[in-house]
Amino acid sequence: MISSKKVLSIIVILIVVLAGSLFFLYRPLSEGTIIMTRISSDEDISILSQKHLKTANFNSTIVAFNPNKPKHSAKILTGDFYTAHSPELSGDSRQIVFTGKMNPKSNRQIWLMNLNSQRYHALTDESMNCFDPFFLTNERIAFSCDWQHDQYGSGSLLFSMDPDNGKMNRITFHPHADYAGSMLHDGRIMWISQQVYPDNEAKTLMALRPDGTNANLFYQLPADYQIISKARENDDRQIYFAAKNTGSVTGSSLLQFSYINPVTSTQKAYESENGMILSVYPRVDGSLLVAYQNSRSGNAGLYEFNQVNAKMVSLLADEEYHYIEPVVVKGQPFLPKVLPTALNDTMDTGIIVFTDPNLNINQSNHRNLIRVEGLDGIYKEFLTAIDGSFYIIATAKVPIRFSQLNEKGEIINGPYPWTWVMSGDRRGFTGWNPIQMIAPANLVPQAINDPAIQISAPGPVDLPFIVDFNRASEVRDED
Amino acid sequence: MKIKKSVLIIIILLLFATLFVNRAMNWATDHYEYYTIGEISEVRERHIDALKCFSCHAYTQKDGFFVQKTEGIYSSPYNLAVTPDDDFLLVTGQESDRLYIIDLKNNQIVNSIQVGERPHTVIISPDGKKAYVTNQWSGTVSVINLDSGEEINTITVGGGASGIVADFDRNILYVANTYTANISVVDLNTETEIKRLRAGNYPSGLNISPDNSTVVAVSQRSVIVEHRDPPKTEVTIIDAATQRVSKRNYFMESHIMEKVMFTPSGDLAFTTLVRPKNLVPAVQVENGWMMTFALGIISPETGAMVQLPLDDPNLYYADPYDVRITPDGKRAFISHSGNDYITAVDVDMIRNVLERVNSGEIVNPENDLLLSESYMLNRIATGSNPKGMAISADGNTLYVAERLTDHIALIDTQTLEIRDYIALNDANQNAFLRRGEQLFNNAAHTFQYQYSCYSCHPDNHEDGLTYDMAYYPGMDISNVQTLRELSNTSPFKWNGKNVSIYMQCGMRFSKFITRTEIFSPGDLKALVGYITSKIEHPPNIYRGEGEELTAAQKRGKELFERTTTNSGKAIPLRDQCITCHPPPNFTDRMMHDVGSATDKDTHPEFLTPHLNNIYESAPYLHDGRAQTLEELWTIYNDDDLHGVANDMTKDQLNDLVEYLRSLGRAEYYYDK
Repeated sequence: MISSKKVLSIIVILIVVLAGSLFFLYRPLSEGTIIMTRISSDEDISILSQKHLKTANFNSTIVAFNPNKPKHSAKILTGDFYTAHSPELSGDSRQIVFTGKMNPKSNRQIWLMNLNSQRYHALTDESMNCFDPFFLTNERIAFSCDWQHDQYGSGSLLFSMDPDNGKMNRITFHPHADYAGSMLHDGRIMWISQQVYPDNEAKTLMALRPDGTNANLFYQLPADYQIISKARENDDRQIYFAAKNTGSVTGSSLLQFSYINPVTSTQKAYESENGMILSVYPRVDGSLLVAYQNSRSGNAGLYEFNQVNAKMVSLLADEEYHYIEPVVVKGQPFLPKVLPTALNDTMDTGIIVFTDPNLNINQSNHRNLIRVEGLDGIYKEFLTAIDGSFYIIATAKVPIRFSQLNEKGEIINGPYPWTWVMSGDRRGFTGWNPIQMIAPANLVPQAINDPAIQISAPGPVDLPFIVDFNRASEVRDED
Repeated sequence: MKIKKSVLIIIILLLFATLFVNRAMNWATDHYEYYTIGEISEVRERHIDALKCFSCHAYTQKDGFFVQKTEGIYSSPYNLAVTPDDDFLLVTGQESDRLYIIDLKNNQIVNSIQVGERPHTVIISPDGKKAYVTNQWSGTVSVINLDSGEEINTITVGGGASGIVADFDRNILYVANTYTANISVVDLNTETEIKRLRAGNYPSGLNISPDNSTVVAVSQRSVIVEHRDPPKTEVTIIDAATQRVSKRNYFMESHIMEKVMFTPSGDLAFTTLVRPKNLVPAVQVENGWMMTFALGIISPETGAMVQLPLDDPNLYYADPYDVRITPDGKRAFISHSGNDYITAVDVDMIRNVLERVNSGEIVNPENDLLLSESYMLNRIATGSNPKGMAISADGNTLYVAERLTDHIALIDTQTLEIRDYIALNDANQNAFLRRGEQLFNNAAHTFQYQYSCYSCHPDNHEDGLTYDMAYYPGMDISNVQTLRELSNTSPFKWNGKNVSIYMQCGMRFSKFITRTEIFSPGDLKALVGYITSKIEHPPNIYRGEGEELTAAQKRGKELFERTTTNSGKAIPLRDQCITCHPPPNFTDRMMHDVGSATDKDTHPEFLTPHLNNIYESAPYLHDGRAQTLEELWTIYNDDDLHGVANDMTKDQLNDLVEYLRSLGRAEYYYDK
C-alpha cells in the first residue's frame, strides 16, 4: 500500500519534471540567438551563385544557435519539413516566417512559426509556389509567388498578407521576377527585380510602399556584378548584399551602398577570389553576419565581418552542413516606419503626372509624342501638352510603359521601365531617367489644364497578366 | 414603512442615474469621436486608447493649469556673434527676451541683459565696445554697452526688426524690417533712423560686402505674383556709398531666404533658400515633389543667382536657416533647422560647379538631387532646431544656436565634429509643450524628412503660397492658412472638414501630407498642445495695442458694422461683414458661399477665415486668387455675395481695408 504522502511526492515530482520539460522545450529563444538555414554538405550549393534557393530541391532545415556556443546549442526548428529555408523574424522576434514544403514534389509555401511554442501553420496553400517571406511593420507579411505565362515567360510577384485573415494582396504588377524582399527603414520594401518580358539579364533593386504604390528603380548594380543575396539595410543607412563578379567564374563580393544616395555610393566591403558570399545580415553593433563559403570545395559557414579591418572571423563552421541566411533574435538593426496608405479600393484607376525636367520657364513649345503600351500591345499614342507634361488616368494594377516617339513614330526615348498604378493611386515622374533623381521644376504642368488622357487595356483588366502559379512552380523546379 | 419608501426612492433614483450615466456616456463617446476620429477608421485603431478627455480639455487649453504647470522658462537662442578678440560670445534669447554674454575661456554665461521683445540678431562693433540687438516684436534696436553690460539706447525702427548689419566706415546701420517690408537706415552717430528703403516681402537677412561697398538683403517671401505663377523672391542690392537701392533682383522658385553671407573675397554671396513645389500636383513626396532646399549663390556684380541643391536623393535637409563662411573662404556651413544638421560644403568645389554651370556643362542644377555630393563635405548632427551660427575670428570654431535645446554647440571647423556644448539654462527641454515645438519644427515626421510643419508655416504663420493637394490635379487649390491663435477657430481647412487640430494633424495628415508614419499619441498631444496654446500673432503694425483707431480705421469700422448701403437700403443680415466675421476672432466658424468658387472647386462653400492680423496673410480667398484685401471686393465680389460692398466708394473701400488691417490679437477683443 503506497502512502498518500508518497503519492503526493510522486505527483509533485511529476509536476516539477513536466514543468521543467515544458520550460526547456518551449523556452523563448534568447536575445542574440542566430536562426539560419542549414543544408547538408552533400548538396552542391554552387548553384546558389546562379539561381535562387527555391529552384534547388535541397533538403534543408531551419536551426537556431546560441552564438557563444554554436556547436553545442543547435536547435532544429523545422524538423517536419522536407525543406525549410529563408527565415525572417517579426519585429518583436516572437515569430518567424519561412519558406517550406513537406515533401519534395509539392510547391513551396509560406509558414508562420511562434518561436516560443514552435507551433507553425501555413499561410499560403500548395496551389501556389511562394517563397522569400518577410515581415512588414504593421503585422503583415510580404512574400513572392511564381507566375508563368505562355507568351510572357515566367517570373514572380510580390504579395502581402494579413496572417490573421489570410487575405493576399498582390503588390507588384509587371512582367518581372520579384524576390528577396526586405524592409528599408523608411517603411518601403526593397527587393531584387529582373524584367523577364522582354527578357533582360540585369537584376536591380527596386523599392515600393507596402500598399503597392510608387514602385521605383532604387539601385542599379555596377555592370560587372550580379546580385545573389537579399539586400539589407543597417541602422546607419548602409545597404549590404552579396554579388557575383560576372567576369569571374569563382569570385564574389560583399557590396554596400548608401540609402541616402544609391546612385554613386557603391563600395566593395570585401572581395573573395575563390569563395562565395551567400548572405549578409547587419547587426546592431555595426558588424555583419555573413554566410560565406571560403572555398568552393568547403562548406558555407557563418562569419562575422569586421568592416574596420575587412576581416572575416569564423563563428560557425561544420563539416556536415552549410549554413546560410542568418537572422538574429531581437537583433534587427531598426524598426521600419509604418507607412500609411491613401488608396481607395472603390476606384479602379490611378493617376500619373509626368513633367519634363528639361523644361524651363522660357521654353514655350516642348510638345512630344508619347506611346503607352501594355503587355498586349499599344494602348495609346498622344501628344503631350506644350510644356512636355502629360497627365493620365490609367486602369489600376495593369502594367504599362512609356516611350517618346519622333515624328516618324520611331522611339527616341524609352521604353521606360514597366510601371503601374494602384486603385486611387497618384504618382509622378520627372523625365525619362529610370532612377528618378531630378526634382520637378515648380511650374503648373500644362497637361492638368486639359482632361486627363484615359489609358485602359483593350481587354479585361486582368487578362494582360495571367498568372498560373502551379505551372510556374513546375517549370521552376524542372530547372 | 418609511425605510421601505426610502429604499424604493433610492432605487428609483439609482435607476434614473444609471439612465443618465448611460446617456452621458453615449454623449461623451459621440463627442469624443466627433472631435478626434471623424470618419477615419485607422485613427480609431491608433488613438482610441491614447486620447482622453484631458487631451483636449487640459493639454490644449491656452493659459490653462496644465499648460502653465508644464511650461518651462526657456532661452531659445536664435542668433549669435563673437567679439573680435574671440573672448566672448553674444547670444539672443528669442523666448527669454535677453542677450546672453558668454565668456569663451570657460564657456560660462557672465551676464544676461534684458532687451526688447523677441530679440533676433546681434552684431558687435569692431572695437568690441558695443552690441546692437534687433528686437523683432518691439520693432527696435537695443544698443548695449558691453563694458557695463547695460542697454544704453533703444532705436526705433520698422516693424519686425530682424537682420542687421553695419557699415562702420560710414557709421551706418541697416536693419531689415520683416513685417513692414523695408530696411531702416540708421545713423550710428546719432543712433536715429534716417530713412527706410523699400525691400522685398518679409526681408530677413542682411549683409555687407567685405569692401563695404554693397549691402545685400534677402527676403523670406515671394512678392505677390499672378495666381498660380511661380513664386519670385526679391534680393535687394543697396549701394552703401549712397544708401540707396541700386538693384532689385527677383529669383524664381526661391523662397524663405533667411540669411546671406559674402565670401571673404566678396565676389559671391551665399543665401539659404527653400524651393517649394507648390505649383506641381502633390501626387507624391518621393523625388523632391513637395519641396527641396538649396544654397543660392549670388554674384553681387551681375545680380545673377545659381541655386545649388543641399539635399541628397533620398534624404532632405529641411528649412536651411543660416550660412557662414570661414575667414579663409574655404568652407561654408549651413544650418538646417528642420532636421537638426549642419552641412559643411567646400567653397572651391562650389566654384568649380559654378564654372560648369556657366559653361553649360551642367544644366538645371537646382533640381539635380545628385549634385550636392560634388561640394558637400559632411553632415554634422546637432540638437533641436539649429538656427543662427557664428565663426570665431581665427576660423577654428563654429558656434551654433540650438534653439529648442537651449544649447550652443561648438563645432571644430577642421574635423567637422562637435567639440563642446554650452547650456544656457537647466530647463527641462523634454517638457510637454517644448516637445510639441520641437516636433513642429522637425521634418523627421515627413517621408524622407522632406519638410516640417514649419516649412509651410514659417514663423508659425503661413508661407503665402497656394498648393495643389487635392486628388485630381489642378482642382481645389488651397491657400495655406496661418497657425497663429487657432485655439478658438475650429473647424479647420477651407472645407471645414477637420473639427479639431487632433483631426487635422492625425491620420489624414499622415496619409496625404507627410506620407509617413502617423505621430505617436504622445507626440500628437504635444504637437497639438503647442499649436493651440503657444502660437501668437506678433504685434499689429497698423495699430499698437491699446491705441485708439485712426480716423480712417474708425470709418472703416463703421462700414464693417454697417446695416444699410450708401443709398440707405437695408443690408440683409447675412450680407453684413460682421455677421460672418464677429470678434474676437472675426469668424463665425461656419461655411459660406461667397461666390468665390470656380470651376476648379468641388464645393461652393468655404470656411470663414479668422481676421486677426489679416494683413499678414496675403494672398486671400481659399485658393489665393486675391492678391490684396482690396481685390476681394474690387474683383471677386461682382454679386455682393462676399458682403454688400459694390456701392462703396474707393475711399470707403480704403477705410474698410484700413480697419481690417487694424484687427489684432483676439485677446484684445475679449477684453472689449
